[in-house]
Amino acid sequence: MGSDGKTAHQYHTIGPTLLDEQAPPAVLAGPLSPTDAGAGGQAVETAAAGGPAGEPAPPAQPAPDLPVPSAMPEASTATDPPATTLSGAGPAEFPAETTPAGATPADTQPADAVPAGDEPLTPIPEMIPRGDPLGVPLLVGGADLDDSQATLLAYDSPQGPREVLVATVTPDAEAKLLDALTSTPMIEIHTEEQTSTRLALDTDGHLFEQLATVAKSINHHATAGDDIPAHTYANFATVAAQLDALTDADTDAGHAEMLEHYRAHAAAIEASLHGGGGKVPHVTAFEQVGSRTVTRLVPDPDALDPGPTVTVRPATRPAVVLDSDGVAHWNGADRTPAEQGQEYALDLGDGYTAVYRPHATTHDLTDLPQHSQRGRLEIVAPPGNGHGTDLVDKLGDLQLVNRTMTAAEGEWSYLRRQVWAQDLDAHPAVVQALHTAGDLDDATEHLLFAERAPQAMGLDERGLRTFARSLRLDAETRALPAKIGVLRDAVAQATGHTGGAALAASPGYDPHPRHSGRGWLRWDRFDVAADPAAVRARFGGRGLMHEIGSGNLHAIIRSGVLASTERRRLMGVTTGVGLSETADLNSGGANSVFLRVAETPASGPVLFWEDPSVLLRRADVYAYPLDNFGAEDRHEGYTRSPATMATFQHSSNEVMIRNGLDLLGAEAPSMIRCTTAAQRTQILSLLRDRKIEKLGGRLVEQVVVL
Amino acid sequence: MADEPAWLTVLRSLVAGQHTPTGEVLDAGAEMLVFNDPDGPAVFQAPLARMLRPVPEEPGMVWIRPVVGGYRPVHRSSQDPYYAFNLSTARRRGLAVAHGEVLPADGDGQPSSVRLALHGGQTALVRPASGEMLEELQRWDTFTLLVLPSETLADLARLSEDSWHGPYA
Repeated sequence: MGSDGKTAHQYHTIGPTLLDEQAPPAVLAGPLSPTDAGAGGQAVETAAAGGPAGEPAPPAQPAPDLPVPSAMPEASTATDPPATTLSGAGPAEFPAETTPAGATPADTQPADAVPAGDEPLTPIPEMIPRGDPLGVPLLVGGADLDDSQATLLAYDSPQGPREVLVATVTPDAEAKLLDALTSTPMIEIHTEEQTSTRLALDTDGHLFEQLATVAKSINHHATAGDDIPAHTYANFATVAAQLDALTDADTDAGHAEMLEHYRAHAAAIEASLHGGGGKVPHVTAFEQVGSRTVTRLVPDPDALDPGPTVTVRPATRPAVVLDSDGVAHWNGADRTPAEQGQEYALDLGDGYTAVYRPHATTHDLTDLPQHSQRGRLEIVAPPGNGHGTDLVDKLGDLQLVNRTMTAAEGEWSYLRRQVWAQDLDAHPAVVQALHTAGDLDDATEHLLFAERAPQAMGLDERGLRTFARSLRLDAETRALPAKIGVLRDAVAQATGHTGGAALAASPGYDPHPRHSGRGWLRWDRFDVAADPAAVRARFGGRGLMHEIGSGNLHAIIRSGVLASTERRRLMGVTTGVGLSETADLNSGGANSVFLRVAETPASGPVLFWEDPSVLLRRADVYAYPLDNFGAEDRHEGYTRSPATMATFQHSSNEVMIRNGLDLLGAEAPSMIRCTTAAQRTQILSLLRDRKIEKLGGRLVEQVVVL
Repeated sequence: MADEPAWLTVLRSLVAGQHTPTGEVLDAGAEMLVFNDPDGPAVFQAPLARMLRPVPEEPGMVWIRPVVGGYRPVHRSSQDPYYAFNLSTARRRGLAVAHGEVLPADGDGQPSSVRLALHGGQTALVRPASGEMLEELQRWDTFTLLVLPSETLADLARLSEDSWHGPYA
């Protein structure tokens, strides 16, 4: 592969390098930059490519001392390639053959240092930024976690930072985790709990309900602009008379306080009724604070420790709160009830605890949490900082891979993501490759067992489990280079490339994840990354739009991300919970942000991407041509194809993007349309303060408009 | 509204609670059931908030707001509501109606309903809310009319958002 100036070529070296575990690293490993915007990737050109399926590839060609440019000069000039038609041959939706030179936008380059071989793609940070609501994304080895991703967060608390690892365990890996759990002997404890209760005089006489009903009626008709009905006046007269009678007859001090509370509400209602129907303030119930003794079951602290101990309880969420300065607070203990289902609460020892919400019921957990919560794992460290490495290590207590992902493993995850994004699951070559990959794991495990069998002698049950787990994990690691070769060849065949080597050398092929916002990572789909102009051409003048509900555009821009509901809950932005998925089984919706294919919006508050390829290059996008109610996965119209999305006609179409969007970096909208001049001024001021002059290559004054 | 199809007129009336037996529209409302197979079980059921927005330039397209996302707050103060809704969860939804028909009131005084064949193959039935559905709708009314600021309710009624930000989101 020559140096032809295509920025996409700089990553092709990763393929052959990854296939040889013994090859010297081509470049220094290092953390990905906080954002890929504007970062130039370091490049090493090689001529080598992966070998045939199942065979080790030749070692990487570059010498370790090969000069490595810090940035590709062409990266800053190739921002707007000409549109090309999509009528190419081959099964790939956007064939690489149509790629103009330098098609990769400059602002989508990966970070400076490109890890290779055994080097971690995302090193564990020594310090997790305290109070950062987005945390630090991390790629964990193996395939036990969804997208192999975990997030390390350090919530602020009076006791010091509370560091947490959050991830989603895949359904396939769940059996390993559940196998690690051991039932815990439980004991009863008695505790005092504060209670708030209404008085019997109130509940029997429906005082609160009557006042609330009258207030609702007044406010509803005031909003509708029609007359307050006569029965509302009559209802108010009834409850007012009831309050008067009780006041005259009752001398109980507690009752007097309650009656005074309700008389104040009645006065406000009367003022509205007779003063023009203005909005009645929130009517609250009068409550008496008391306490009661409750009995709870907790793990027996004196029980022997056979491993992670577990209890089943109603599902919860961490009670995270985001303050006005953007700092996320959580004390590591307070939790709010989740919408539905149960969860495992785990004691991992040494002050580490965990919560796991399974995908499937078990003999002791029979009520599943909602879809978006299934597989969610949280591991909480003791108070203090510096637990990042230990948090990852604790995954091993749950029989999950507990080390960061190597660059080689990254390519496996990248290829699996391509299979998903480009809908290659059913292609015979891919089906066969994935089957072969499983066989390779098994065969390697058998080999390792033969080598290590003597080590198992004399081990107890737990020791044997640990031994078996290490065999499997080591087998998966050892088989990986061959698996990558097999899958790459299959993906190449399914997408019309001549082979895995040709695919790895093609424009757009880049197995390195990119930061999207500060809190998560993503891969690009190589067909779109190779030719974003083709996507733009498909969409014509239309783009992707997201309308903001409450008009708080400034707060969203300040956060820098448009995050999914689940992510916002982790950030502490979302305080409420919801029962949506009990009524609507649209699994995964809470894990995505929703956009729509639309014309350029004429009014705000709205975010608009006139170039859909900016977002649709991501390999975690799916869409529906119109709203589907109660839709499970792959309901009518479900698609991952940008070309199909370009044909959407109904305004209720939905494009779902996992986790969220980086609004101030590589995924910045081309238009932030405000509702008022003051709002525009406020947002421009915010961007100036952050020294952001351009978004998506355009001056912010051109992007933020009225 | 004069030229709108009959199903839309009835849908508008149901959502507003015009079929109330008490004279107070807040005592009535609508619920929606959606079916993948007209003879199969409902795959979605929820009351509908008292808001509706047809799209004039897209005949058959109507935005609604199913009432979902209700919860009982914990660690609540005396000023907090007993019951609240997550406004991100109670998001607007689109009905892309290919064909609508009004189901006549029955002899027992049951008001009319509408059956909507949706583009995409699903069927929606919108009928007077009852039982648990009506109770949830009334909790929504309590929340939106007493707890939320008027401006927030007006924003909700525009049925234009793709995400909600701020309190209760």
